Parts: sequence; C-alpha cells; structure tokens
Amino acid sequence: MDKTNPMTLDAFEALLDRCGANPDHWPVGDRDAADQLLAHSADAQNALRRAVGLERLLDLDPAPLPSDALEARIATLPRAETAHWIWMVVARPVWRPAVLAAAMLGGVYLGAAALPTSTAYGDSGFDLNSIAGGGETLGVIESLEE
Amino acid sequence: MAPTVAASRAAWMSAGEGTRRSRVDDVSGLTDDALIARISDGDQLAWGEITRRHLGALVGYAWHMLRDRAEAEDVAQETMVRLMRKADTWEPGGAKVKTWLFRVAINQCIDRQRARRTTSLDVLAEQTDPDTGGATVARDHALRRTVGGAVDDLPTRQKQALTLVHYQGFSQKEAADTLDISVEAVESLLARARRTLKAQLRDLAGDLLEEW
Repeated sequence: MDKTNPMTLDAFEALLDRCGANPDHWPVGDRDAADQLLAHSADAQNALRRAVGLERLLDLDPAPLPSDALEARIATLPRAETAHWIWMVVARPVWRPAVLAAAMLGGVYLGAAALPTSTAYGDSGFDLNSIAGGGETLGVIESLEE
Repeated sequence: MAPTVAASRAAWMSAGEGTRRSRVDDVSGLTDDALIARISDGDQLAWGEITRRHLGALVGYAWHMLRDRAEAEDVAQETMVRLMRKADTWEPGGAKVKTWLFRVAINQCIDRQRARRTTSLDVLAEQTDPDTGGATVARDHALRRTVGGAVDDLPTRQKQALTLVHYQGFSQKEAADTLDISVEAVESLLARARRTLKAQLRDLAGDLLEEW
C-alpha cells in the first residue's frame, strides 16, 4: 500500500493481528502505508498501543530456563549414547545366533582343552616298563627265571 | 617436518587459556550443519554448542505447550537424544536443524497432550513462580496465571504458532516450515490467537492492555 492506496484502520488492525506490534515483522510493502495511517489516526495509534500491550502481557508468562540437572544430563549424552550404541549393536537380534554360536564354540574349545590327551603322558605313549616297576623289577624277575 | 601427534598434544597442553577459548569460539561460529558433522565425529565442543543454541528454546516451547517443567525437560532431553542418534546420517543443506528439532518436540508434546488433556493452572503457578510474598508479587502472580490460562485455552494449532513466533522468536517463515504449513496459514493462526487473547485479556486485565 502507498499514498495512492492508503491503509484503512481495519487493514491496519488485521496487520497487527497477523504480524504483531513490531514494525520489523510487518511486510515491507505495508510499512509506509501503516506509518502514514499512524501519523494522523488516533484510532490506529490506540490499536498499536493495544497490540504492544498484548505482547507485554504475554511476556509476563515466560518459560523457565533448563535446570542444571538437565544441562548436566545433556552434557553427558555423548558418552551415554556411545555405551547405548555399543549395547544396541551387541544386543541386536541379528547378532544373537552369532553370539550363541561363539559361546558354543568357546565351550567346546574349553571342554576339549580340559580333557587328557595322549601327549599328556609323553610322546612315546604308555611305558609298560615303568608301569611294571621299572628296569630293576624286570631284572629280578629274569634272575628268578634263571 | 610434519607435526607429530605428541608434538600437537604438547602444544595444546602448553597453550594458554586464550588459545583454548579461541578454539571454543571457532565452534560457536559454525553453522548448525557443521556442528552436526563434528558431533558425528565425537566432538564434545560441538555438542556443547548445539546444546547451548537450542536446549533452552526446546524447554521453553515444551513448557508453554505442556505447563509442566519436568515433562518439558523430558521432551527436550528426548529431542536432543534423537538429534545425537541422527547425527551420523544428517544431510547438510536439507531441513534446518532448528526446524527438525522443533518438529520432534512438537510431536512429543502432542503425544503427551493426548495422554492428558487438561492441566491445572494451580500447577502452573506453583511451577513457574516459587517466589511469593508482597502485593506486587501477588499481583504479578495473578497476572501470570491469567495470561497463562488465556494462552493455554487457545486451540493447539494457534498455541503452537504463537509459542514459536512470540516466545521462541521464530520468523513466520520458520514457523511455517516447522509446522509444515504456509506462511499465510501461520499468519491466520496468529491473527486468530491474538484476537482471542485480546478479547479475553480485555476482560481480565484490560487496564494493563491499555496501559502500555
């Protein structure tokens, strides 16, 4: 709007309802026309005053700031999320068969490692000589036979 | 000669406070997209900066929608958790971080509002103004309850638009993007909200409405 198309009071009030009392928030094209109306219209000035009053009333209802506890929790989120991510990867259902298989293989390995094997008694296998009492015993037996 | 990791670490450790502050300042000058890229690399400074920029606004928005500080902080925390999980797959140049964050917060608030449709204004007063005593404080207290009640009674969509634009300082374009509607639709919501509030507050606090 401009001098050839002046803003009416109704249009100005509608502008205040849509865009608020701060002229910076008004469409650039409407600012000059609004200024011209405000320059000579007491009703327009009152409308603007009411719009400013409404915004100041709304300012009486501010939100609280974040608590220190919340800020502390948010600050530690990266570490908490890393642990969460690791857990989510490990605990995902797709990994469960693999974890079960690994556990089974581990059990088999440990079980096998605990069993006695031939190598536990030496590479030469069972030594009947030593079981029988050793070379001295055999010598006694041989002498008796003679 | 290329600097070794040990040499870099020694230089960092021996650097003065000013040097360290300048690194922090470097982070504060980054765009949200750049911060998200750093967060996905585990940069704690970037995480601190994105928190500084948005946490208060998220708590503020959620509090105006829910009128419950504990719930508002839960919403803000969950929103930040989702941002952290999103960081790895964030595509710079797409949706603005601020828009994305508020969309998440808005949806959470809607879910919580559905779970409980009404909130006592007594709770509002207790949670926002622990300081009582004196005629002026009592008058402000009563005014705050009146204004809070009038805002609370607005239809949800109007309250969303008013909260984003008036309390969080969003432009109408930003509010339109966040609410996924046109700028004209945002202006229409705001106009209806302001007309309703003026009518309600004229009866309840008319002297103040005219005073300024």
